[in-house]
Amino acid sequence: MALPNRFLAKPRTIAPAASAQLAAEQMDNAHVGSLIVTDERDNPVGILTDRDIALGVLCCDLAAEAVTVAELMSTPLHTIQRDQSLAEAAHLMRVHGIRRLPIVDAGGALLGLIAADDLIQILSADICHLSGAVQKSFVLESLPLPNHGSIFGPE
Amino acid sequence: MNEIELLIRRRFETIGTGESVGAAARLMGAARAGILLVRDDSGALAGVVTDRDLSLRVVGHGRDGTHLPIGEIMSRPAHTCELTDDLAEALERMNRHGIRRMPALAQGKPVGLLVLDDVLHHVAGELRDLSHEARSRHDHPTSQRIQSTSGSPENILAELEERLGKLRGKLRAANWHAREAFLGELDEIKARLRQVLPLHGEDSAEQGQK
Repeated sequence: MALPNRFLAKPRTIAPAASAQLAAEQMDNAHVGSLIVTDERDNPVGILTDRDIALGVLCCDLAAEAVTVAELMSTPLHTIQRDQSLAEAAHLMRVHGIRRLPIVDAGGALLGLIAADDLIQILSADICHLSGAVQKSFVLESLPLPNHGSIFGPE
Repeated sequence: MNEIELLIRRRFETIGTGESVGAAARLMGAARAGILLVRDDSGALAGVVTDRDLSLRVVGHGRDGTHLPIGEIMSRPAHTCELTDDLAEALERMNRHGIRRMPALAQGKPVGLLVLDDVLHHVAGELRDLSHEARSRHDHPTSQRIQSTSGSPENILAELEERLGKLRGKLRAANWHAREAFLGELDEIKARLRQVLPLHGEDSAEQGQK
């Protein structure tokens, strides 16, 4: 089962040559904690978080307009293909110790973003279904899958 | 000891209101901390500052952090909980304020940090215990040990229901952040609950198959 379509909104991006100050402004305006760094052909090449900016700039008393995104971003970028599953997303996050996974197509073009926060919301819904199954003595197979998809995949 | 007291991190970092943003960033980096508790001259909790605050309020506004005092950019007052508070209520408050970490106070002084990730980790552990028990009951429904500690097989699902219900309440209060360990546990409990559900179906086949 492919990743749910609602995660296929293109995330906020920024160029590697942009300044740390611009990146922080964009995170503030967009209410996000990370930006995907894309090259001139719009291919994702890295990810930048608010913590990367805070520590990278302020620890060394650098001038925010003089530090570039390329100097602060994390590479290589771990991604997931849209036809992979939620369980695979969870696995990749666990293996790499990350909370955000850009979704890409077969050619590597950026399609969306899925975060650990998104997974937990889906999992919470699954727990409610499981709890309901116990309460009502249903066998699990008789339950309809939640329409948003499930971490557990198709039954 | 209530849940908050069990779950808080006793180790946390503090910084004075007059110290610089640069010093705060260096402390966060060295201590691998995402939040600092800010104390005033009397040692009382004056506010908190996160790595995101530093990024958006200082870097994003083009301010020089070299001599900028933390007291000027911290969040205040800090949202806090008491050690004796109910965990679900504290989680609900964190959710309402959109925060992931909350200082826990005793007699007005910070004694720890309640971190959402830790709560989820704890919930994952409860789920794991629950799933192990479900598996044990399924594999050994007549085991003396299980019977003696947990009552008759007819009570299995009632207990599971109650414990799942409690977990569900916590998840509902804290459902916007994940911890990786949690994800694996859910896969496991799902498999094991699938083992125990048919057990109940056999016990009450007519009702269960409707």
